[in-house]
Amino acid sequence: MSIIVKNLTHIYNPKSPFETMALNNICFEIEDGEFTGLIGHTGSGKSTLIQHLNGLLKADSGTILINGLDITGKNIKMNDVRKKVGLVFQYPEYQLFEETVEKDVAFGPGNLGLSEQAVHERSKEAIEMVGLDYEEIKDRSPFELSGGQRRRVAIAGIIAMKPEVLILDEPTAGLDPRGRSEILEKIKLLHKKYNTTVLLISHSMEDIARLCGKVLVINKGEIAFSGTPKEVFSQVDELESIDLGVPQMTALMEKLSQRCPNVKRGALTVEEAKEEIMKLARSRENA
Amino acid sequence: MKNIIEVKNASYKYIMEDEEFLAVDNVDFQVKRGEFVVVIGHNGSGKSTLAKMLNAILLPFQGEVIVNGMDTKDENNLWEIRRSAGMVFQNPDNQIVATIVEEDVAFGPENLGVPPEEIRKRVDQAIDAVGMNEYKRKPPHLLSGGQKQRIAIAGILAMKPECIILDEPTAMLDPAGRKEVIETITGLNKREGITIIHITHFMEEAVHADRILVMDDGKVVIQGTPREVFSRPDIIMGCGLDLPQVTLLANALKRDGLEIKDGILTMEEMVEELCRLL
Repeated sequence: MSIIVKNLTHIYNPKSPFETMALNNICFEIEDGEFTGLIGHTGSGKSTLIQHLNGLLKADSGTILINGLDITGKNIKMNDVRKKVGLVFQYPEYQLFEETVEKDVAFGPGNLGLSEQAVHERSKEAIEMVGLDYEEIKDRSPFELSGGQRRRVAIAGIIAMKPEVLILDEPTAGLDPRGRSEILEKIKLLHKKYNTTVLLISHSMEDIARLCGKVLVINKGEIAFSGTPKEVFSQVDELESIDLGVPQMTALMEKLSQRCPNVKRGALTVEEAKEEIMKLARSRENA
Repeated sequence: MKNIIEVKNASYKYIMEDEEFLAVDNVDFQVKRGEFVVVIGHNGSGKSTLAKMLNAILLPFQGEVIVNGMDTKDENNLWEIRRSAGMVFQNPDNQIVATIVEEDVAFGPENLGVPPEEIRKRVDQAIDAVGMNEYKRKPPHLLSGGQKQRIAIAGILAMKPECIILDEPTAMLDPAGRKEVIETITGLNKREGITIIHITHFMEEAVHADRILVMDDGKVVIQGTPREVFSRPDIIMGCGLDLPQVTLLANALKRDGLEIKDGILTMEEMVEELCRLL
C-alpha cells in the first residue's frame, strides 16, 4: 500500500499563546511494500506525523493519500483506514488489558466483524508470527510475561488486524539486545512474507541502516532530507547538527579515513566495514 | 571504609498469589568508593531488582546489603541510605515533581530538612554540575528527555550522595540525549568522585566502565573489566546480550586472517590499531 503525503501541516493549540507548528509542509512518498525508516530527535515531530497516517490526528492543511485515497477528505470512514494502517505505539505493552494473551490479541480482529473461526485463526497466526509458542502462551495472563514477551503480544494484536501498512514507533526501546534483534527479525519477516509496507521509527541508527530501503529525516517538523541509508548516513555533519548520529561503523570508517586517506567511507554495518578493511589489508600485502 | 556498597549473599523473591519468583539469587559483590560499575543483563535477569536493593526500596530476605556502612534492613538507616545512594529511573517523565526546574532539584534537600540558604547553594551547584544553568527557571515539561534525566540527576546531587544508581537512564532517549546523560555521569564520576552504578542494555555504554557485572537468572555470572568481560562472547551471547560493534568488527577481521590485537573495545582503539596495520 502506498503512502503519499503532500504539504502536511499540523499546528498544536492554534490561535493561543501556546501555538506550536508541529509539522510544517511535510512531503514524502512511500511505495507499496517499501521498508522505510523515520529518524529525528525527541520532539522533532515523528510521533505527530505517524498519528496522521491512520487518522488519529487531523491535518490543518495538506493531503495524505493511502493507496490513492485521500484520508484527509470529507466522508472518509476512519475505521476503514485504521483496518489498513496498523500503528504500534511506543511501549505498546502498556495497552494490554485482557485476561489471556489470546483474548488480547483477538480484540482487534474481533471488532472487524469476522467469524469466530477467522478471529481465532488470525490470532493464532499473529502470535506465532511474533515468535511466541501459541499453545504455551495463549491462556496465560499477559501481565505475567516478561517485558520482551509482552511487547511481542502487543505487536501481535496489531498484526492480527492484517494491516497493509505497519507503523512502529520505537518498537525495541528498553529491550535487551536479543529481544531487540528478535522483534526486528519478525518485522523483517512480516515485511517479506506479506509485502507489508513498513514505517519504522528508531533511535538506533544501526537498525535503521541494516533494515530500511529508505530513510526520512525529520527535524523541527520538517523533512530535512531523505534517501537510501547510504545517502542519508553520508551526511555526517548535517545529521550531527540536528542531534542525530550515524551508525557506529560509519563513524568508525569516517574517523579512520581522516587518518588513512585511502580508506573508503560509507560502510553502514560491521560486515561492510570488515569487507572494506580486508580489501585494504589484502592490497597492502600484494603491494 | 573502602567499599561504598557491600552485597553479601543477598537474595530477593517476589511473592505472588500462588508462586514465588527468586529474582536475585545469592548475589555477592562490593563496589569501591569512586568506582564506575556497569550492570548488564537481559530483561528479567534481576538487574532492576538488584538496583532497588541498593537503596533499601527492596530488602533481601536472605543475606545483607550494606550501603555506606549501614545495613538496609535497619529502618533507622533508611533516610541516610537514600541520601547516600540516589536512584535515577528509566522514564524521565515519571520522576519530576515540581513545575520549575530549580524547585524540582530542591525537593530532595527540602525533605532532608536542609536550611534554606544551604538548599539555594546546593541547588545552584547541582544544576551547574549537570550543565543545565540556563534552564533553572524553566518548566520541566519543555525540556528534552536527556535534559529531564540531567535534572533528575541534579535532584540527587543536591542531597550530596556518595553514590548514584541509574536504572537504564538512557533507554528512552534519542542519540543526543544518551550522549548528554553519559557525559554527565562520567563527569560526576571523574570530577567529583561520585560512585556510579549504571544499568544499561547498550553495550557501547559499558566499555568505559571500571568494572562490568553481567547478570543472568538473578545471579552475577561474570564480572571484570570491560576487556575481560567482552573477551568472553560465549557467556555474553549466552546471556542474550551482545558485544560492542567495534569488538564484533575486531573479531570478524581476526576470523578473516587480519592480525589485529586482542581486546579492542572503543572506536579510538580500533582506529589506532587499523592505522598501524593498513
